[in-house]
Amino acid sequence: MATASLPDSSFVPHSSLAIGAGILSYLVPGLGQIAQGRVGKGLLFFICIYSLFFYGVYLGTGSVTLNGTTYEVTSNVYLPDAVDPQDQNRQLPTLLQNLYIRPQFAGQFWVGIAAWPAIVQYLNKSTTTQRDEFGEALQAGHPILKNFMREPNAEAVNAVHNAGDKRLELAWVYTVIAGVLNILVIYDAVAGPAFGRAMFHSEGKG
Amino acid sequence: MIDPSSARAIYFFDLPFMVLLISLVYSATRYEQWSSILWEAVRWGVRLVLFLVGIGVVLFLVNQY
Repeated sequence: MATASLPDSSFVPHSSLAIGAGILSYLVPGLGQIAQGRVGKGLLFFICIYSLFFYGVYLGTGSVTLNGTTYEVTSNVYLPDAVDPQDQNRQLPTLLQNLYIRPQFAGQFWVGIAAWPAIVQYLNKSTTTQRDEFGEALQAGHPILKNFMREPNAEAVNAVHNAGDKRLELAWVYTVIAGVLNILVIYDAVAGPAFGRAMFHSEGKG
Repeated sequence: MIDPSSARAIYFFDLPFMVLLISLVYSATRYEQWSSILWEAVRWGVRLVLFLVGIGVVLFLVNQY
């Protein structure tokens, strides 16, 4: 017997185009659904996921001036380059070790193109002539992105945290949730809604 | 120094905004028709609010006793 919770759906994606739609929805949330003709749903995903993500990015930025020094956090979406590749004692490959240090990025990554500046900054290894307190050369900002989505230094994070409020912590939650929700959106583009026609048919047969 | 107005914004804007968007997106990945999506979003919204309120009550009690 079909129940009220077993709907509705009339959409089953073309298998030949499903992977392409999934890739489009990864790149820009909802774009795969729009390409499939489900424009309303695609726009809903686009607006909701980008609202979550960019509001989180907005909340996660801040600057504070203490004793004449300005500390700035330009984004909470970043992948740190904190592991020395020459370190023989590390137990994981460099990228996985960095993700272990900043696991939030494993969720943020799935929001698609919007998180790619963090990858560009991670791959940008150019340095400045300035040195940090440990004598290591400071990383230079990207020529186009500047410091956007670049790993902030620990002093700046501490200063902005201490001067701010709890919303700085809430900010990365927004961005991670946006990325994780987009995994469901990609699934929807590839296989259709989870309670779609296929489920309805299998219930009917059972 | 924590700005009280921004701290209040967590409860009166940030969390309701998050609950609304999560409910809508999650429901839209489950259903295709708008009526089903909206009803499922309402159901998930209520569940999320109850969950958050429950956590708030537990933390309040832990803080008090």
